Amino acid sequence: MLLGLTDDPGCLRGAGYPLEVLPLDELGLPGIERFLFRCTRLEAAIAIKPFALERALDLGFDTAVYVDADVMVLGDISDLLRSAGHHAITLVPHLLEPLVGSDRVGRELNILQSGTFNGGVLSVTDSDTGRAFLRWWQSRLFADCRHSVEEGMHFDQRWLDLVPSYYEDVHVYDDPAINVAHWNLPERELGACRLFHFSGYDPDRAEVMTRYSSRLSLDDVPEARLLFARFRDAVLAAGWREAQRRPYAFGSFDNGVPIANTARALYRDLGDEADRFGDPFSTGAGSFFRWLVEDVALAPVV
Amino acid sequence: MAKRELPYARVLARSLAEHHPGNPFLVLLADEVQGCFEPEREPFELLTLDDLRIPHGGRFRFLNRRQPLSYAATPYFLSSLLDRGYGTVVFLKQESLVLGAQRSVLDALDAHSIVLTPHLLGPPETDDTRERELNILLSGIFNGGLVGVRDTELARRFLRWWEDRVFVGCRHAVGEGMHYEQRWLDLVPGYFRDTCILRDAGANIGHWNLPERCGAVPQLLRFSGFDPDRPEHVTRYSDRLATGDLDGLSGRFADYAQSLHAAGWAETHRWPYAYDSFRNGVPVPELARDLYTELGDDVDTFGDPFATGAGSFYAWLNEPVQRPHRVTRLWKAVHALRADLQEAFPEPLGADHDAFLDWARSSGGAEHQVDSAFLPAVRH
Repeated sequence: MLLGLTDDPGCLRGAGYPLEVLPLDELGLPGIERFLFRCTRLEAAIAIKPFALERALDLGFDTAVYVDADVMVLGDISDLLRSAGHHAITLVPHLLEPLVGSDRVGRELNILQSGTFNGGVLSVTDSDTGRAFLRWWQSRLFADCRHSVEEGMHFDQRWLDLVPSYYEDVHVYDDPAINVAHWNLPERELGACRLFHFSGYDPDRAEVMTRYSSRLSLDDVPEARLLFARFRDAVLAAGWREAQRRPYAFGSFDNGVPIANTARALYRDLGDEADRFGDPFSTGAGSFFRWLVEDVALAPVV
Repeated sequence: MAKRELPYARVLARSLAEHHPGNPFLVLLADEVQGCFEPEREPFELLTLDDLRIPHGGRFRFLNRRQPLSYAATPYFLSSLLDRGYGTVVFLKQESLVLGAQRSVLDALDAHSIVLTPHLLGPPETDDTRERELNILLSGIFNGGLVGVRDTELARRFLRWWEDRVFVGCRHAVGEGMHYEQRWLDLVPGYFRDTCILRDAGANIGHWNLPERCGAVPQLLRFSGFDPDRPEHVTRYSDRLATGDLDGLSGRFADYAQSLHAAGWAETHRWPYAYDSFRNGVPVPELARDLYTELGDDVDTFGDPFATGAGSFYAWLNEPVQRPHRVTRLWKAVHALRADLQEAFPEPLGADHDAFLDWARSSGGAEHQVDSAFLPAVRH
């Protein structure tokens, strides 16, 4: 198990968890400072997926299965792992059956806005097709891992909709016990679930199943309360509180001033023009920071 | 199709007969004949919406504008053809030309219940690759202009599901995840496992993949957004392509324009559309369809939406919002839509009442293409 970490790895040292961290500077991200600056914390963590997957293949693994950090394995997933090895690419749809009920249209439109396949569980094998897919996905996420539904983007995820038409040997994995989450509940049976995805769950707001939707409460799904409590206990025992206090390594300029998301967006919108600032985290003369805080009204009129 | 699009069907029928002689070819008219042509003299069998099993048929005709009505009718049309006993059905949108035997599609249908063709088979090879991909992500991975089904339980379930979704959601609202009938198809490979994603470069060529497909042997060429009166433009949906840039396919566009003209284009384009007006001949204002959509199931109380008598939707639109004022529901909706009107006439049911109605009579009717039948009467 390898961990893609868009933060300072120092915090994990000696923690006693069976995690090997993939160093960020070995992921082949071109212009890494600029990438980490223009992405928000969430966007950066998502956008490195295809880079981390290719790194895993480079390290000699024949098959790389990606799972989001908020996933818990509840049972035997060897069928998923075996199947992953047999196809260049494996994707897991959010929904496996048409929805019924009065909110069926709204829920399906929600999926159409965010993507047919879930970006939280997927796999590639070390093959020409697997590598070609990763390189294409990398190029899209490096530039555009944003939430902009009106433009056809939902972080890493909507790009995946194109994958079954682009590449041969894309397997649509359809085991209803795998990747159960708020979007396919209450239809899925929790008792049979072997891999649960706690998407949008916050251990500090234990009563809320997900911040992405108010459709379901923990009492709407049998056994959900028990499962979420189990996950929360495990996450708290694994150092949640302490981790919450740690700053994000790429959250401030080198003078300690926090980077507002607006500043990140401004930087992104500058495109190639931002080249002249050099390292975007620096705050010296000629830096992006100086440019940001310059008083527009006092700028000399030429 | 609507009847003004009849030349498309005539040209498609001939091209199909050339490559599949004797193959049954049925055309759906999402319109009414209104004496404009004689269906029995056409080179195809004509079905109308009355031949399909569409629940709330009046509502269906009123909810959708002319082109979306044809789009929304697609799954009902396919179901009806299976009901008629055809074991395998391939739907083609009217602006298509068959240039070869539909071998890959039919072979795929031998093995699968559903066949879909993606817009793109790989990352576009032009400079605007990202924009073209985003365009497809907004409009749908699969093209709705070719859909194949075999009469299996699974295909029937697919069609029932698609019918249900397009009934309420056959609109262009990309921020909501909708692009007429087409974006719903993105869910199909996840829902109905026996779906073939046909990755054949010749199966469905259109403006969205032309730069990559000019060298392919075309089985089916699509003329989505092509205007035979402007044959140098590939499509009104994109200014990226000129027909002169298409190597071997350039001549096809000029020929197609000629074929459409020879098939009566100039004449059919003057024909009316049956669901554009109420039964009394008054044109349906665009905004009225939006209001009707917003009412949801409540519209059932009106009965036939094209009727104009007491208790009709027409009468409802024309009723004053609040008596004794004469601002009707339709004009109140226009007011609610426009910030400039709200600024100019802040109190349409108060101090600005008469001035707002004066505006409606002098400018509003023309600006919103609302017939004088909906214009508030002058007080005597």
